Amino acid sequence: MIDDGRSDAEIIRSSLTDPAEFSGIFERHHSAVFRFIARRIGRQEAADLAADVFVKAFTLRNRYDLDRPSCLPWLFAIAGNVVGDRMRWLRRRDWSSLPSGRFHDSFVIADADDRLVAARVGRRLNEALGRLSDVDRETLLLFAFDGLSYSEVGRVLGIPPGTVGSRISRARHLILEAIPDLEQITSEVPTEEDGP
Amino acid sequence: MTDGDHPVDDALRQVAGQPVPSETERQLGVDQLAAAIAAEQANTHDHRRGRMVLWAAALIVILAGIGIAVEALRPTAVEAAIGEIAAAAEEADPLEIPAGEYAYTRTDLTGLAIVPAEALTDNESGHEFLAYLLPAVRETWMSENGTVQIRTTNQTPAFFTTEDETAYYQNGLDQLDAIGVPTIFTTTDGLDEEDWPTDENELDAAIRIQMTGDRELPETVEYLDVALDILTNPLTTPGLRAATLRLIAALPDLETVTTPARSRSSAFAIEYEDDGIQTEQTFTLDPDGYLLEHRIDSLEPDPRYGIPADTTIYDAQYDRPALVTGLNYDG
Repeated sequence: MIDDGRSDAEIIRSSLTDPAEFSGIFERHHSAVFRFIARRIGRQEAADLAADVFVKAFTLRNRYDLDRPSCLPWLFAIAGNVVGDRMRWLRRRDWSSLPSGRFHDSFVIADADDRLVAARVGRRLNEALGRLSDVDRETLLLFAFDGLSYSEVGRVLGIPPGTVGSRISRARHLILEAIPDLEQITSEVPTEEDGP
Repeated sequence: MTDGDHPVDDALRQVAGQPVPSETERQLGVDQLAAAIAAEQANTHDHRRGRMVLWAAALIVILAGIGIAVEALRPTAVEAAIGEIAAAAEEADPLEIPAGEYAYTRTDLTGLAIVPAEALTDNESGHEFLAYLLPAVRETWMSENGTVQIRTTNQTPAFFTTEDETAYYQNGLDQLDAIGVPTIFTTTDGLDEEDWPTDENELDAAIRIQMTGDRELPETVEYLDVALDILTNPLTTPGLRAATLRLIAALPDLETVTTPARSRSSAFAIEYEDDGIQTEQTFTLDPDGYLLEHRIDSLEPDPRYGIPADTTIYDAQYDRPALVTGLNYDG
């Protein structure tokens, strides 16, 4: 990540007169945008769609609210639209009908047995997510997957932080209802730190 | 339990992993953003250039008496973009055809067909000519030993008026066009291809020899007619492809065209007057310098042929060549 002491907003302001400055936004946030997309629609589409997001952001940068120092929520909002367009295009409106590999292709797991455990957990989580409403699911994912704060999630979705909190609580509750043994089965999935 | 360590959040993070873009995946984004930035800079440059041209014109008027001229500024975005593609083309692997295999190419074409009204026995259109758009699929198989098969299948034409359509079928032109019937041309002597030099100066001279120059079209258009043909040949070597692209890059009056964000292709266009009709020619290149599309649009109505404004009168879409083992590949 480039950190020259300037905020995203300052870089975007500079890019209004010197378009090449916008490359700084790419350098800072490409990985996060790529991850955002890969987790939602799969790695195969992520590179193309992440590139789309930055081209769109570049085109729309004169509308960016320069009072907001971090532009990541704005980029995620654009990414959400890009992913949504792509999913509509793919006629995969039903979240649960996405290929099960959507989560699995990102696994970093030691051996075949571990992959089976992870796949089982992933499949059950996928099913539980599929039963959530679109808005609850996206709110939870922005918070849990993408590490945004309540207020940043609110900016992406255009809702107050309080509503973010209630949606996240509801989504977590519904997932735990669907997978009461979540903590136990998750503990069987090795982490990257466990090593081979 | 805090917001940061809820078991649901932990489980989601655990199964989703931390996908990290590879250098190739990252570079795709770098390239597309760079293209968008270059396009905007070129536009800005054009605007500035427009203002500068006004000042230059004023200067010319003032300084004409002492013979001082102002050289027109030339946009560099096209040169930069095609130059970058040429560099990639030079590094691409040449297409080598193993024994027993063929280089297969498919082209989806649409061309303007014109029949003089006097050749028709039945014509109520009132036009001097019967004009229609004839789509066709052209497939070519080339072997390493010079065997070439070209299969062309004309498709159902499109008409500008119902009168034209009626005249077409009443005069049996569908039989002449052999709609839906493949016509096959085969030779074992190879195609009569020009042996193009790869030295840019020599290639430039060779292309200019091939330019027809009989339609009073801008030099760039005439030049493109020949140069783009070189790019469509699947056996064009990386060196020849790169040299051709560099010569195209230096042509005057070409503009960049915005391509869809997801597309890795680059498009360029020139607008000009063809026999009094404002026309635009566009060609699209993939990142390795293969020609993906060559299109000509009639921007104004052409009353001679009954063609409305903004009609594509020629379009050729090229697939990248593929190696196949048989002569009946339909993929």
